[in-house]
Amino acid sequence: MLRNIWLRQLSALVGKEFQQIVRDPSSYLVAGVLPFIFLLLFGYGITLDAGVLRLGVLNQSGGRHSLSLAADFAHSPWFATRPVGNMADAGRMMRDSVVQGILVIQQDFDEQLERGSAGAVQVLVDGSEPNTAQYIQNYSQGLIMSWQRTALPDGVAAALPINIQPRFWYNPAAKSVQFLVPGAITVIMTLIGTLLTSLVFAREWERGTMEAMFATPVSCMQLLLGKLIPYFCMGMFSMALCAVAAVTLFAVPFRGSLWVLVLLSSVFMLSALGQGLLISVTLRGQLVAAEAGLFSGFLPALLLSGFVFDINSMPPVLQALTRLLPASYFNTCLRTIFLTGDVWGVFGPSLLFMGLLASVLLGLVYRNLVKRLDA
Amino acid sequence: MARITLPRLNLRRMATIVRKELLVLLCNKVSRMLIIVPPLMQIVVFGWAATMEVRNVDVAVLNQDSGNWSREIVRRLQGSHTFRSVTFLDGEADIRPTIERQKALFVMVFDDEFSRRVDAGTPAQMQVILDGRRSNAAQIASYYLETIVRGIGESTPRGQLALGAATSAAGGAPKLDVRVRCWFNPNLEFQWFFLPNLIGMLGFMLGLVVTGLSVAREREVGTFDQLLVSPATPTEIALAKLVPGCLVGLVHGTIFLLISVFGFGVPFSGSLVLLYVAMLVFAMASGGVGLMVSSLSATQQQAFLGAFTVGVPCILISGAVTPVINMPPFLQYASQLNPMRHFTTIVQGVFLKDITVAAAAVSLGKIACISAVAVSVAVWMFKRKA
Repeated sequence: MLRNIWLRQLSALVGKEFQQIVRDPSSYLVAGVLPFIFLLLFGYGITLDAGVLRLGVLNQSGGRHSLSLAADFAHSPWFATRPVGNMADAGRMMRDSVVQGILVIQQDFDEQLERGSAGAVQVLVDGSEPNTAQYIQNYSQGLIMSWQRTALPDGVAAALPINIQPRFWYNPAAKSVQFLVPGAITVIMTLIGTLLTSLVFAREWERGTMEAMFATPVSCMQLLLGKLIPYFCMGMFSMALCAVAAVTLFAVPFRGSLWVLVLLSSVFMLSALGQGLLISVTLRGQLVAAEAGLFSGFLPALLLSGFVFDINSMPPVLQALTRLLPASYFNTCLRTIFLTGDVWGVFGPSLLFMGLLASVLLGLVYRNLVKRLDA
Repeated sequence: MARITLPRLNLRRMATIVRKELLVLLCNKVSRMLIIVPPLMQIVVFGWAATMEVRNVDVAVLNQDSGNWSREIVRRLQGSHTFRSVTFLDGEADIRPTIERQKALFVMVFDDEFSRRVDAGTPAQMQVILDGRRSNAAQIASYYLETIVRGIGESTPRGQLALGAATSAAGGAPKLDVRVRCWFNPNLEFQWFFLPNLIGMLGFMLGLVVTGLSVAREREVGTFDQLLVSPATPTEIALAKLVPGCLVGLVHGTIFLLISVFGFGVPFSGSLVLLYVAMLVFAMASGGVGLMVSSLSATQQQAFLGAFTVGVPCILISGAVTPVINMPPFLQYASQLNPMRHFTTIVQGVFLKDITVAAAAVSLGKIACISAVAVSVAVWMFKRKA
């Protein structure tokens, strides 16, 4: 009977919280609209692939070979070329970002080649966007090499004897969207789990309804579960939305099993909720709590989880920091479950850490949730 | 005909409100901490974290070859500072778990014919299996590998032959002399790209949040009505509310500028005046957007989430993270309305490229337009609500 009352009280609390979510338009924004917008933006907006590179061609030679080289660049799917008149123009176009690189064929290019000596080609690259610059470097060098092999007499002899055959497993075309979308889901889940819940207790404190809550017979455990359950459901709902969108809209394969995905997301969700609730319980002001949620949850998930920037390349101190971040584990897990399959060697340790963190955080929330106004 | 009259503003009344806003912002210990500490932490942490360079790469090798050439490749790989560790695998069965568990970014496979073929001068194949879950890092690492292998290729008998043919002027294969030079950022330091952009990113978020929450807070706490019964007109109140956000943005902008230049060694080649004009106009724009969001929301929570919903997409499609030019066309058009995009153009131009004034003026004009529209709409909405 007592148990029964406990459950009824809890369900009343959960019901109240659900009503609050349903009747506040901003929660639709966070649970439904925001994940969708973010997924679209992350999926379409952020791309680490090269795209079509804008290249100016300054052909100072004008002979047979130089024209053939320039034509190779013009026909290449990687480059959109445009002729450049002189060096001053080239400099101006680079400064104002009209082009991302300039191919300069030196004046004596054809002459030198006819004589059998080395013809000089220069590739100037706009380094202000390093990722793009790297692509221009590699693509233009590759193109020049292959031109040399086909267009020049005895060019084949210049080919080097070792061939590298690269094969990308799990992502054969090496498209960045395939690993960015699972990463984006990590960011979105952190957002819902941490940011939204960082406000829940703070709001009650600020509005004084916490005091009303203390006057009721509900226990701290019920209070905690009353907050946890609705937001957990909301998070899992968004997760389902994101996963479906990832597979249907972005054609990301799903190679793992569904129940593992549910398990992984539940455990991650608990740790994110724990973080949010802990912020909310300790800070007690909405503004402060929201900022803390933003800076401790969302931004690290965006920048330190390995979502865009590779963790291994960071300095050791930061690498150690990412080991404490549930988002970085979840990110690896999501990429693996979508692209590779069920790899327990990856999931096991991650689940262990995220589960441990979730219980520590939720334990702290419970300890800090004292039914006293002066605490 | 409707005459457009500019509202007459009483500057003294505005100054009083600005002072009050600053006191609210700075005299609360927690709120003071929150506008000072996190942004600074961000620039330091993310200044180090954000890198597209690839370092500390773990590699695995399955070497079925007993000759020298494969060993030479591995030896040079170990000598390169890009690669951290090289693990040797025993058999083909080891490849899958190594990649699956991310023990290595890529696995190189040499077959038992490899060195013999290199020595004989017949094309030798080496297979490289890369982890597609980190395809960007893998791609870049494989470029490094390619450079190493090319270097070795030139020292093989056949490579020597090819080189010899190229250098002997008489009738050999002509060789090209290809030089690549990177302007503005010769070593392609990612920090030089990212840190200036961080000025815009954090400035935008701060302007949005500080301004956005101030009105909502007054409304929630109930002091909004007190403000309205003060002698100041709604327009004055709205404009005065913009000032603290702008000030915070400018102060942080200055700190970031100093940290980027002196802490991280990012070169500053352009005009400081231009940067500050741009920062001021940009701060107005972010404040205006913040005020708009604020006027639409009833509670601080809504204002914060609103600011967030607007802010993050603006940052993502601004070109501060990845280039705008690689985005689909509709996003490129949409980003024209985004003040952050134009500010990013200016900041990057001013820091690294010494952008021409004409090119900067176009972007600056666009920010000014957006700012004017945002502020007027915000003031209008504010008046309507008041």
